[in-house]
Amino acid sequence: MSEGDILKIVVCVKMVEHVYAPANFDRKKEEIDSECLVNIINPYDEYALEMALQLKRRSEGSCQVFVVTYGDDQSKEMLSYCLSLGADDAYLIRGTDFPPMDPWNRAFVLSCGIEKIGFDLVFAGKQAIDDNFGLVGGYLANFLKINWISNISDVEKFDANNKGIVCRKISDKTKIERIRAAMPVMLLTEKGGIGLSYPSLRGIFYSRKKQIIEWNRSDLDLQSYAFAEKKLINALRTTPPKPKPAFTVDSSLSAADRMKMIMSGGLAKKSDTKILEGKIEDTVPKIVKYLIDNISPF
Amino acid sequence: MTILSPLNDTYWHIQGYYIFWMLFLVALIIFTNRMWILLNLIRQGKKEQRIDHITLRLKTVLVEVLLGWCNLKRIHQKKLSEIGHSFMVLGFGLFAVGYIIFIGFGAGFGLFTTPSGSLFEKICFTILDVAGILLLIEIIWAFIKRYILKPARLEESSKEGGGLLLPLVLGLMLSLIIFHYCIVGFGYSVNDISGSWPPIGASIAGFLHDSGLSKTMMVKVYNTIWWANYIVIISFILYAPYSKHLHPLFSPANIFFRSLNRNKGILRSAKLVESETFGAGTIKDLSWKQRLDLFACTDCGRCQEKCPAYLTGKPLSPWKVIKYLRINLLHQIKDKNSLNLELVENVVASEEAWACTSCLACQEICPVLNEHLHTIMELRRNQVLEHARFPTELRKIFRNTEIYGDPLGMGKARRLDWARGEADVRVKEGNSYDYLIFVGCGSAFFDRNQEPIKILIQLLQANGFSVGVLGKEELCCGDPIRRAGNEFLFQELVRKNISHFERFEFKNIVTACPHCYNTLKFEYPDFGGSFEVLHHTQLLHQLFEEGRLELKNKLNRKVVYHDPCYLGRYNGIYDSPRQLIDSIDGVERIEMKRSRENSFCCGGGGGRFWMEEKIGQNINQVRLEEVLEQSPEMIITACPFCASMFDDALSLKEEKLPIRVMDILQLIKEAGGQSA
Repeated sequence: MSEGDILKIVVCVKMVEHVYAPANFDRKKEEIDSECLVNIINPYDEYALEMALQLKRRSEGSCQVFVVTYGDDQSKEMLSYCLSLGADDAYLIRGTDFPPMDPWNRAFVLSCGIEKIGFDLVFAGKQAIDDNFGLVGGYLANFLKINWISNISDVEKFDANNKGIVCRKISDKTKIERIRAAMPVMLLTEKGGIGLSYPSLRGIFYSRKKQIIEWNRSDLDLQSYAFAEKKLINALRTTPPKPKPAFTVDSSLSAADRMKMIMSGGLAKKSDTKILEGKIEDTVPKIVKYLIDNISPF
Repeated sequence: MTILSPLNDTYWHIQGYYIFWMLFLVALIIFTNRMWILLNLIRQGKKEQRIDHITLRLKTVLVEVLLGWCNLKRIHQKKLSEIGHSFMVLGFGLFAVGYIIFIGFGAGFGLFTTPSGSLFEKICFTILDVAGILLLIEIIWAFIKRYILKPARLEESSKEGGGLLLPLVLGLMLSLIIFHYCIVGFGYSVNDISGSWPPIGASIAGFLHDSGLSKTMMVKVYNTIWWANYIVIISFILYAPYSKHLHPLFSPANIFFRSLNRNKGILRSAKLVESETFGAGTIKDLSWKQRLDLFACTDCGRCQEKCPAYLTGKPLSPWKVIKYLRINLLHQIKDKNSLNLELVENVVASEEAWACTSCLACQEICPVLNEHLHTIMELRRNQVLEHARFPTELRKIFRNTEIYGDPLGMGKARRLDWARGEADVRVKEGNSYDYLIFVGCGSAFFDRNQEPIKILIQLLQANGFSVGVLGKEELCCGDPIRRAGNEFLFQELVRKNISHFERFEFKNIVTACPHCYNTLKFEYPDFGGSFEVLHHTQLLHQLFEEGRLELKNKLNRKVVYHDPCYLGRYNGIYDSPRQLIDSIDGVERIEMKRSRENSFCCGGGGGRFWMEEKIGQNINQVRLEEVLEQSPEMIITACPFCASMFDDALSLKEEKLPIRVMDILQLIKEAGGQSA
């Protein structure tokens, strides 16, 4: 990118089916009760988009943000949300006539789309909360033949001489590492480093008028790379989600605690502290059992 | 008979009559010009429909203004200033009529001689004599009040104009009364009119007659006082349009154009059209009624005195919002650029706009019926819809409501958790129900508030009513979302909820939450959802009156009842909960210091329940301290949010207090309430 040019930022987003409630798993149908599921934008991608949009807001017009997703009609609502937040264009690569998808293929399809859009910076969440592979970002950088940095928590700047500074939280998430990076680069984002924005009503009206650009397999040039026609990475088995204990908001919470609980998505229930006493050999299994029973991945 | 009158004299070879008219015309032109500017400022506001039911409106103006009712109606609060001000209204009202008759028509048209000494004049002057005494009392009282007692609410307005303006104005008012007595006295004396009426004027005349002053001397004094009186009046005509003393003209207009709804807190629904601005971003976006509010304000500071946010050390004062908006509006006469000034941050700090708990105390107390709450809510609307700027906590609340349908993000999978282990009470299509219970997020998701809902259902079912809940279809009613400024999301929720309601057949909706009650009953009709809505206290009271609710246990308990704002001030339901509590044998109910119309908010309204309270004291703790003064065993309320706020406050207390916070339904259960 030279001076006066438009900085093009592409953000990869994914719609995920989030299990938010005590999941009723139907063993016969191998399905989770649909009322326990919501379609949301992958939270890591939400932060990727926010960082891109922050760069756009700071650039005063010399920067454009494009969002791209691989998905189906259900993803349109999410793309429209991205547009309402301030993205300039949204691209939907329709997943109808592709072979079964694994991270490798998904990254390849996305890379073809991103090449077609053109890019200086690529943002993506470091993983998606549905399958939690965390592979697409790395593969994507490989296909695009660019460097990548993971666990980005904040982007300080990217300027006209192709240089920028990004931040990542390391070790116990209290230390912050500042990295100088050169464009083009792929940035994989972490949650929670920055505050998220909310669409204004003007943004919502804009997103309603704006056409989402849809691409099929035929619109993309898929010849250039080894596109596997079958899944290279296969999850052998996914255990059904454990029913989460039903809970309601604890009335013994103070106002501040209640706010924290709501902020954390309603899962951090304040419970009584338990102190285990006795020999280490006896207590450790109890702790392990407690952790297995009470902590779930999301 | 020739009548000696200052107008018949010549001054610097000009007849007094012409000087009078010259001065009068100049004053009138300046006054009219200023009024024209102000009226134009008001007229340029956005359109709003306020001119229906004209006879009813005229009647309210008569009742509220002419009878001084606006001041006397709050007499139960034992505020002397209210009585004093009604003396002022009546007194100066009569004086104004007197001035029009005797100076306007009499002197102005040279008809000075006609009524002189007549019975008509004597009656008029007698009335003015009495009015003058009332005014003397009030003006002296006002001096004592403002400059000796110094109540906090008047502190700011007393300082205006370097602190000298108001004493000067009061002094001039005082001089007008004294001038009046002197003019009558001297006038009767020089014109040799005798008699015993009007009492004060005639006795002054008699005293002057006997004092042995020469007639020329008396005429001189008479002329001087007459002109001094007239100059004071003219200076009032010139000064009033530049000060708060214009309120005698604008506040009756404000009362005429008031909202006719009993419920003063219903927010106007905004048509969200792309081309327009949303809410009140700049002064241009205020409607003409909102602008009229600004001029009708009398700077009395009563709203500030009642505002829970102000009283707990937050920056918001409803009066200052009005005052600074007025200053901003007037500023555009000089500087057109101020038209485009963003109101939030420049005129009203964003902390102010977000500190409001929408408790309506300001509107309840406002003597000129200003609508502070609506203006504050418009400011919030603008912040959210136009700029997406709001306290960070609210983003989660908005997103949760968008994705899951409730502010907590519990979602429909957890909506019926409270009914676990109970019989299925979900409504089914095709069946007809007596009562559809709108559970509400505050009851469904907070374990402390789930019991009242179960008790309500049991009570109704025991009475033989068919009862149902929407169950998982139910969404947030939208009250916190709307009060937090997100009108767009609110309208989406309303449409979805209405479409759910319309699928089922029921007679009434019953809510356990005053917020849901207020929104469903008064704000849904704007979007085509007119339902019969009842709050559970109304329904229970009705059952009790019909003898269908029996309270058989004796409870020896000392309780206080906290009025939820959305039940009390919004909807005037003060008595039915109280009567229910009183009807329980052995329960001793104590009124709190601030109760009924005067009740103090728990701090959870207006979306504040979902925001952090960072500045000043916590409102709920202040209210709890007030409760503790009565040392009750139970705090009874009728709102899940109030109950939660009290629980929060109790849990923040260092020592554990033996006080229980209960919904009125829980109390009824303890009293063994059952169908009779």
